[in-house]
Amino acid sequence: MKEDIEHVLDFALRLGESLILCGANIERVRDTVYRVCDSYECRDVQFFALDCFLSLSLEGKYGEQVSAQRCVRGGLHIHLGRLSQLNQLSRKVCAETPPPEELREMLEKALDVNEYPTWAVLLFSLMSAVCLNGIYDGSLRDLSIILLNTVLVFLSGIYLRKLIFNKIIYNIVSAFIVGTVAIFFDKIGYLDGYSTVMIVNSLRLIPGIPMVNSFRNLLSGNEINGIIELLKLILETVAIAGGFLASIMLLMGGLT
Amino acid sequence: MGEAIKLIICSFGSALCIGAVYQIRREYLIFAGLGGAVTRVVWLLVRECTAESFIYYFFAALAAGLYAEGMAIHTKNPSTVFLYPSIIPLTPGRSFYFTMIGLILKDSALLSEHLEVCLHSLVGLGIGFAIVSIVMHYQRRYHWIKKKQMQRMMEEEKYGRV
Repeated sequence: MKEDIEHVLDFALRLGESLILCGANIERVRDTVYRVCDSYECRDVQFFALDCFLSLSLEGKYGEQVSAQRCVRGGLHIHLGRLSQLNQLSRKVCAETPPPEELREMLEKALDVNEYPTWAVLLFSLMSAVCLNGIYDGSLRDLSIILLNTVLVFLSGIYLRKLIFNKIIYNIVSAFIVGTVAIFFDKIGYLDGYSTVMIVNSLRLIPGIPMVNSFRNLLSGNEINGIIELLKLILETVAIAGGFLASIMLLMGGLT
Repeated sequence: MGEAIKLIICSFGSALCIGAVYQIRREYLIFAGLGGAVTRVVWLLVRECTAESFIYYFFAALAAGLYAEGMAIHTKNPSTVFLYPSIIPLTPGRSFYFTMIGLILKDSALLSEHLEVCLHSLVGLGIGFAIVSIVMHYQRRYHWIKKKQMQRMMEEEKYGRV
C-alpha cells in the first residue's frame, strides 16, 4: 500500500536526520537507512546523504514508488545517549518490522531520552578541565582560571544555542572569552603565562570529531562528505585562531 | 613512572567526564573512561619506542578505534559512543596551540618548531581512527550481505524457486 511505504520513507528520513544531529557519521546513517528499507522489502532504494541534506527514493513491494528530501536543520549537538537509543530503535525495527504507521511514534519515543541535568553537565565539564590540566602540567593558579573559563564558555554555549547554534560562531566567541580572561590574568600578574590555560580550554573547541569523520569519509570513498567535513574542520580551526587573535589585539594592543 | 600513571589517571577521568558531557548513558560511562586510559597507555608505550609523533598518535588512535569497536559489539551500541570521548584527551593541544599562535603572531621560529609535529599528530590520529572504522564498516557490510544471501537461499528452499 502506498500509505505504508510513505510511512517507511518518512521514518527512514527522520531517523537519518536524528542520527546526523546526534553525531553519527554518514556511513552509519546510510547503513541504517538501507537496512530499515530492506526490512520492509523496499526495492531500488536510492539514498543520498550530506550532513545537511538527505534524499531518499524507494519502491515498495507492490511497485509503488515514493521519494522525499529533507534538510537537516538544528546544527550538530553531540548526544551519545540519544545515538544509542536510535541505534536500538533501528535494530528493533529491522528485527520486528512493526506496522509502518507506528514508526513515527516509536521514533519520537526514542528521541525522548533522559539527560543529565545542566548543573551535572557543568560539573562534569569542570572535572574534565581538572583532568586535562593534569595532563598539561598546569599549576593551581592555571587551574583556577581554566575553571573560570570553563564556566564562562559553558554559559555562553547555552545562550548561543538558544539563538543559533553555529559551531564557527561558537568557536570564535569561546576562543575570544578564553583568550581575554587568560591574557587579563597574565597581565595583572596572577598567571606565569597564559599558554596552559589557552591549551586546556581550547581542547574542547578543536574539531577532533569532524577530523575523524572527514578522514573516515575520504578513505571510504565518500569524498563529497569528506571534503565538506575537511572544509568545516579548517573553518572551525580558523575560527579558534580568530577568537584568540581578537583577544590578543584587544588586550595587547595589536600583534607584536 | 609516576608521570605516566598521572597521565593515565587524568586521561581516564577526562574521557569519563567528557562522555558525561556528551550525554553517554550512565552504565557506559566507565567504559568511556577506560577508552581514554587504554589509548593513553598505548600512546605512552609507543612513545617509549619512537620519537616520531605520527607513529605514536597513529597507534594510539588505532587502539582507541579497536577498543571502541570491541565495546560497540559487546554492548550493541555504535562505536562512536566510545570513540568520541577518547579523542579529546589525545588531541595534540600543545603543538596545535603553538602552531596557531605562531601563525597569528607571524613567529616563523615558533611555527616551524610546532607545525610539523601538529600535522603529523593530527594525520596520525585521523588515519588511525579511520582505518579501524573502515575495516569494521566493510566487515559489517559483508556480514549483512552474507546474511541476506542465506535468507534468500532458505526462502528459495522453502517455497521453491520462482
